[in-house]
Amino acid sequence: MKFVYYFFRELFLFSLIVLFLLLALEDFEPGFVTLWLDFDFFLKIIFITGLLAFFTSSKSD
Amino acid sequence: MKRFLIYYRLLLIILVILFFILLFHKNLAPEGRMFLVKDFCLESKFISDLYPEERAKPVEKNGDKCYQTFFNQPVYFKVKVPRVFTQAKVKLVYRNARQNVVQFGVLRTKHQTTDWDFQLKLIENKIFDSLDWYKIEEEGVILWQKKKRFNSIHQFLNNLPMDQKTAAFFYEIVPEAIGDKTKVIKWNKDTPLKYVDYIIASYAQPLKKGDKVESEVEFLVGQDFINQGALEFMISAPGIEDDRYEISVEKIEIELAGPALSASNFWQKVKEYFVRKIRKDE
Repeated sequence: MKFVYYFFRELFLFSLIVLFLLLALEDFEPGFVTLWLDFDFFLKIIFITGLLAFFTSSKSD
Repeated sequence: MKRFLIYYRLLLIILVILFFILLFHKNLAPEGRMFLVKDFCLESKFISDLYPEERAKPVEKNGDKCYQTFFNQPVYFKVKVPRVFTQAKVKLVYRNARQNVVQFGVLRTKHQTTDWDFQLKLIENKIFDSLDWYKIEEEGVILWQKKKRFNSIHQFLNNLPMDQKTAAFFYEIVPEAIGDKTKVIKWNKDTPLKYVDYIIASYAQPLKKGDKVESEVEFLVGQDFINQGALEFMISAPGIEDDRYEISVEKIEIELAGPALSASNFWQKVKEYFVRKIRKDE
């Protein structure tokens, strides 16, 4: 179960970092990101992986 | 577990790097070409709908065809571009039952709100299309002669007839070539054809497929045509509101071309980009 927790935790953290980088890029050059993809996709990944990491964290101790 | 975490993080780092490389590649379009299509059935991230809404109806659907109709002019649409291109080839597919003249243009960069400077081209002229005069077409210029007298446009321009009347539309005849200024007039839709012997125009006649018209036009664009990261196009149909005609646009295709990025000019382009950004040119 610890394996599952780490899997989602890392995915959550990396998605969060990518989202912040994309937001910074979009702010610097409007359209750089939104012309090709939606932020919704990353928000969904962050939300789902965050939830899964949260619910699997207690069983990993 | 520690080993798993190391490998897993390494994998994620590689994926993130690949993702950003792909994103930069998309935005830089290093091959210097980009092809965009809007068929009005699907929302396009690049090409906007026609606006303003006081002149254009919302997108309508008829079977598997989608279109947007405008009844007042001019109407505009924006094309978001990820980088600067130098050439834009635009193909418009539309239905136009009765409007005689349709023009199409691209807006130059607006430095002030009152700047409305367009590079304008003629895309349809039903009056010219229905002429049964003798026609010569050379390099995007067409000469119609009521009675055949010249064999080429070059010959016509070098021996401009001062005993007959010439009408020019979207074409500038060099003033030095005009002996009698009353013999050369600017054509407009109210010009009576019986008083004109020659018509010269920069015009590529559109392709007609049933009730559909396919017009293709090419513009030289560049940094001077970018407005907030987009090219802004205009469709103008003089008099459409008075005659209560309508034009339905079904498809917009845009082929953008520019210099390809190579290893030698890459850093130069990056430098130019940041200089523009600091100067706030875009």
